[in-house]
Amino acid sequence: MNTKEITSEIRKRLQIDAETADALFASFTNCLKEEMLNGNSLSIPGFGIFEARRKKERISINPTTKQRLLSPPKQSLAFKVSAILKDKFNN
Amino acid sequence: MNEKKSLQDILGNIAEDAGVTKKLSENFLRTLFEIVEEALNKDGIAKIPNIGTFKIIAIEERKSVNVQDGSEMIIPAHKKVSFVPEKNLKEEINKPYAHLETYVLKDDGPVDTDTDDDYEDEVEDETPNSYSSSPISVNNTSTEIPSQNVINTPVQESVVAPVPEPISTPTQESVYTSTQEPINTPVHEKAELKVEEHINTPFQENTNSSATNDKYVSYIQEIPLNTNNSNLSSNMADENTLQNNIESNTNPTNELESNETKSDIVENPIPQSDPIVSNQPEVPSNEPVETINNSSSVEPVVNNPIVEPTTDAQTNSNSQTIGGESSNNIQEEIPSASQTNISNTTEVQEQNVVETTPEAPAQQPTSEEPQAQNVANTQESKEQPAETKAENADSQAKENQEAAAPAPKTKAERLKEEKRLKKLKRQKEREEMNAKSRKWIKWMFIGLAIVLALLFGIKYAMDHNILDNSAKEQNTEAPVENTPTTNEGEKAIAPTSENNSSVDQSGSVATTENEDNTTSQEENQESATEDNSLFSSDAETHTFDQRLIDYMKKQHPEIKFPSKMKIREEYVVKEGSRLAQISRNNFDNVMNFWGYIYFFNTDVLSSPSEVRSGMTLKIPDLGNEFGNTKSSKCKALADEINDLALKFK
Repeated sequence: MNTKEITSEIRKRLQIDAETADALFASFTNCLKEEMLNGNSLSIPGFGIFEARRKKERISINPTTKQRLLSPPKQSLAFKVSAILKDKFNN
Repeated sequence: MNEKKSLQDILGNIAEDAGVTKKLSENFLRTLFEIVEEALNKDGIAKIPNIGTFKIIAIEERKSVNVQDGSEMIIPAHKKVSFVPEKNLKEEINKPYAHLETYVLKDDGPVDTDTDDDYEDEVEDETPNSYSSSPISVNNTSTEIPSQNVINTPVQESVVAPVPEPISTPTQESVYTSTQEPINTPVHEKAELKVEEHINTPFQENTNSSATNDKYVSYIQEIPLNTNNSNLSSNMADENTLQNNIESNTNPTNELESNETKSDIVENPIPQSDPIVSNQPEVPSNEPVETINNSSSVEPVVNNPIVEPTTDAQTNSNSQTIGGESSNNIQEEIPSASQTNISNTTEVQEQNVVETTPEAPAQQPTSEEPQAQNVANTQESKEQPAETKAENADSQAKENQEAAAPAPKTKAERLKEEKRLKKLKRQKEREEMNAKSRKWIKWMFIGLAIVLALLFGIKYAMDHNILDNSAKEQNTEAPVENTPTTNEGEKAIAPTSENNSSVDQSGSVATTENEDNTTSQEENQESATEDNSLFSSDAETHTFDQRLIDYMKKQHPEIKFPSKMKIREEYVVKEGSRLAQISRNNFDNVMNFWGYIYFFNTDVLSSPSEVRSGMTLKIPDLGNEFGNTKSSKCKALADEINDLALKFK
């Protein structure tokens, strides 16, 4: 299910117009981003946890050129599925 | 701040942000994830706009090992939910690190060399390896002769001047041959103990010997010269390492004092120097007496000449007189040496040693013996009156003549004489070269002395700033007291390399050094006044950011985190460097400590990402408690501080 289908589905279910739906999506992503940048994790009950994972910088070697590269540290959004959801899929 | 937030916590924000009721936002989120769940169940993929894509990934069953009991187990096939964030969101979340780019490491080690290493290199340059090797070899060698060989080579290296090697090598070879003989070995064993004394004392000896060498031309000098040079070098090494000097009579401090009171200098070196010259004719004379075993009997003979020259004023006259003797000897020495050698050979033959070659080597070890003995006996010789010295000189001359007289009568093999004549010529040339090289060494030591003076000045400036203001006032006095000692140490180094002819120069050098030190003292005082005026911004210590201090108090009250820390180094940021890179360069290839650097430089850096090339950052001296690059605890704490640093954008 792609984004369009999801937005249309959600509008249908909540019976809201596209603007409010877009605003809600935007505010949710914004809120999620803020929490992630603050180092918080956002748990969604019955679904999973969003968290920002820090990845330390590391030295990688380009296998072809043998160049040693210092990869910078990263922070990425990670999602850990909840046990409930996992069980649902596996049964 | 590492809190776990649930949906309820953000509902208010979302509602406010979107301008809807809280209930609507709650409904929105619940239905959103319901739909995603359904979509995953149905299609196995669900894309939330601006957030990312959820996917169901089927994982086949695979074997694994139970970590606890090591038994094999099979992980059954299952489905996994993967999430790939949208590109925009990903970049937003990575924004604190967005400025960071992959950096190509040019070398295996750190890209930028630490200035500390440079400093160490400078220090190491002052004590060349060739120097340091010589004392070790002298102490370790069971016999003198190998030590002599070892000694000769470093001298040639250190002198750098084109000393003809072929001359030294034949002598060395001959020395090798001599080592095999039983005659020499007992002598060496006795001399061994004295060699150590000999190493420490020869400061003045060397200078004077080098001075006298200009005037004297005696072929035997070559070997003792080398040994003297080696002693110079060894002494230099000793001084630099300050290890062996304390053992012997002549501590560097004593020598310093002797340098201060020039009368001591006059007394000590000259008697020592001349014996070296005087020993050489005697050496052969000693051998015919077969005092090899009875080295004690040789000593008085050796000691007497030691005393001959007493004062500096006499040095010239003595040198001339002795030079006259020696010049006479030079002509005579050639036969006399050979004669004595031959006489030695006869004796050696008497001792059932068949080889004729040991003659030359026999001189060499013996020539060292009296030196060592001289060194041991110099103190005694100092005390002896000057009158006896003149008598001794006469007796010495007589001895030389006596030694010369019987020489032609002995079984002289002319071939050997011719060889020795050739050797003499080479040795004369070599002595000239040594004189040149000695001048060169002299200036090198002077340069080293000046460098040392500057280093000590810098060091005092560094130490000076660490202390508090109350202590600073004392320090302003302290360097004045301490630096002169350094001056003395440097003086002791400088005059060793100087000939008698350059005594005036040495004085001028000493004065220049004093000037340098006075300037450094003035600098110290200036810096002290600056520190007093600018108390908050110490040049030596620097405060960490208050946020870090508060954080450490709050989170780690058990750790006594200092608010101030020494500045280990000022680091100029190079192009493409980042804090982590700087940490890597300064903390033993470990990148974790960049948080400290950030909080140490928050007056310059508003955020960790604001590092630009050309900036000057202060590197904190974290010490072993915080900056141990091998301690995982230190690294963990550093990582924690890094996390903290990232929150300050």
